[in-house]
Amino acid sequence: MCSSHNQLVPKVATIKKITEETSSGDVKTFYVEFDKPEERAEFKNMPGQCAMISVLGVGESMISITSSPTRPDPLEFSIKKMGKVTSKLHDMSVGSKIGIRGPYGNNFPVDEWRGKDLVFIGGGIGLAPLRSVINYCIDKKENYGSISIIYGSRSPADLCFKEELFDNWPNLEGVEVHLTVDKVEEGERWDKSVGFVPQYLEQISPSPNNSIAITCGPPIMIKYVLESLEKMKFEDEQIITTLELKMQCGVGYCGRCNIGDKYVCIDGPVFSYKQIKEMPQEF
Amino acid sequence: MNKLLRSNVSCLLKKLSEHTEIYASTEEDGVCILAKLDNYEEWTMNYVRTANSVKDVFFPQNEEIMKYKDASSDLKIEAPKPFKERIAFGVRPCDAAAMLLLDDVFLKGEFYDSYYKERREKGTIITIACEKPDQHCFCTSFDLSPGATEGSDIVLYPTEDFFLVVEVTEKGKKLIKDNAELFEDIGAKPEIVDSYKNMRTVLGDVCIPNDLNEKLKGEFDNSYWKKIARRCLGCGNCTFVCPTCHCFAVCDVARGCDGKRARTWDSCKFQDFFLMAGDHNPRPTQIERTRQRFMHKLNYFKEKYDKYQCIGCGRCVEKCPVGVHIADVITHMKEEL
Repeated sequence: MCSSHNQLVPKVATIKKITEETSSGDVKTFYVEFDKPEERAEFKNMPGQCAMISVLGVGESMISITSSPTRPDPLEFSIKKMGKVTSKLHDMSVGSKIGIRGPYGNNFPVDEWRGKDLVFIGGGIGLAPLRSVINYCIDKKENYGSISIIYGSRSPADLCFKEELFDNWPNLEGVEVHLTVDKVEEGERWDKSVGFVPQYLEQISPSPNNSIAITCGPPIMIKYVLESLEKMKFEDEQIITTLELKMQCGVGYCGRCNIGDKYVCIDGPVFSYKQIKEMPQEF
Repeated sequence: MNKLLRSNVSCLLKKLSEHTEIYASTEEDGVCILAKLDNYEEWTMNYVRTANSVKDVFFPQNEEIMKYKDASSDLKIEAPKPFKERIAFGVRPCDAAAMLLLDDVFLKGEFYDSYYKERREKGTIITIACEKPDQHCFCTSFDLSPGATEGSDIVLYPTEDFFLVVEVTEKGKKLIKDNAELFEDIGAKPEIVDSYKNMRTVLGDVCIPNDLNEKLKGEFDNSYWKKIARRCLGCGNCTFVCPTCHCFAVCDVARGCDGKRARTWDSCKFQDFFLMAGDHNPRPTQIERTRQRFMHKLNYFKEKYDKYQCIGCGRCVEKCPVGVHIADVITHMKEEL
């Protein structure tokens, strides 16, 4: 059997570096390299796409690629400890072997966004898929208008990608970062907003004119962010989000991740609000 | 047109087995199944439908996807060895037609399924037309018939003591040519073939309106789903016996540092099928899962591939312990909408 075209057999990769994103340790970023350079060359990802990560003996999970293809190596995956595979991944160390196959799914329609202002709205680990497209647009900034990043988490300690949030992105021309947290513990240092992301978004109130809003986060946050964006007169076509359902094959056969006649693994994960409204509401 | 004597079938199977695996209809404890045959005298025609369908030959219930060695430090991953050529004999026309629906899923998308593709390329389907459809059959609702040739390489039409042989594909033609001594050219005899093709099944008048999928679009919240879900036991029989259902689960089996990854059929009727890490379940009760099964077959699949995902074999009807009948669903929706 010709394994290079066999989508279900992963390629071997090595974890080169692991960083803890949150102080509770529930989110880690894994820096990963394919063992065979030619397999890296075949892996052509765009922002928003995902990969199936294997922990052999435990299973596979579909994980968004958090690094931008404009900064190709190593590949980065920011992963929250949730189920069997992600828990085992969190126990792994530098040098451990994993399997990767992909990239899968569609990507953020970055070409359609040329010349537009971009508003990224993220919550918690939802910044992981957004980070790939944020860095992509920053690296091709000449193609886009202003970039606003509105991001929140439960507490200051739970913010992911702190270096970029505090040191890198705010210092770039035409890029604004707005941060909020649900609550601050006594004694914790925090001089930015306190409150939920949707309300904070309405306070900032970015203009819908020539803009695209891209949101990713916990389902409950997305639900209220969508309502806020509608209130702020963003059209359904101007709003982009991502969906996630249980997946086992990643390529449209195993039958788990359908919403109506769409499979999130191949037709998603990126959908416009217009597309989502046309789907059966079952996700 | 060729004929094949019934008494020559064992001989044909034996000869074919020299180079291929033979899956044929055989009887085990009173149940007819399609199974790998070693004794070629054991083939039978004593069935309306085999308990399993020809799907098993190309998409087996359990199969190894790969082996791995030393998961931690020097990981090696190995795909399975090439499969053997295979012939399925005694397939029913509906089941052969179901393969075309599986082809849509496994071969026609952006990614093809290597395991399925290889088995299909190395497989030949020899179908026997149905002499006597039973009360569960409704293939004629899907533009098929007891004599349909869709998905078959060869169709055998039974007469008193021989089969009339219709070669459907090049593959089928070659098989007959390579085994010419067992076949006999008797000139044209199409009227027997026509009589099979014109036969109607008992439930044949469950005519499916062309726009059923369109009508179903707006019926996501129809209370009918709740009504039929109430008696569903969630046993999954309907999905396991279905020749068109393709859902599967992937699981790793570890032995120390080594192990294998396998896939096994799975069912949308099971509670944990859609369950995500973090315990979110978009289809938490049998109501959503019952709706998912019928909407997939009658709406989503049709939207995606322009075909209904059912060929009217009647297995789900025969095997459902609580009488949930896809033809009833179609009739109900047709009348209500």
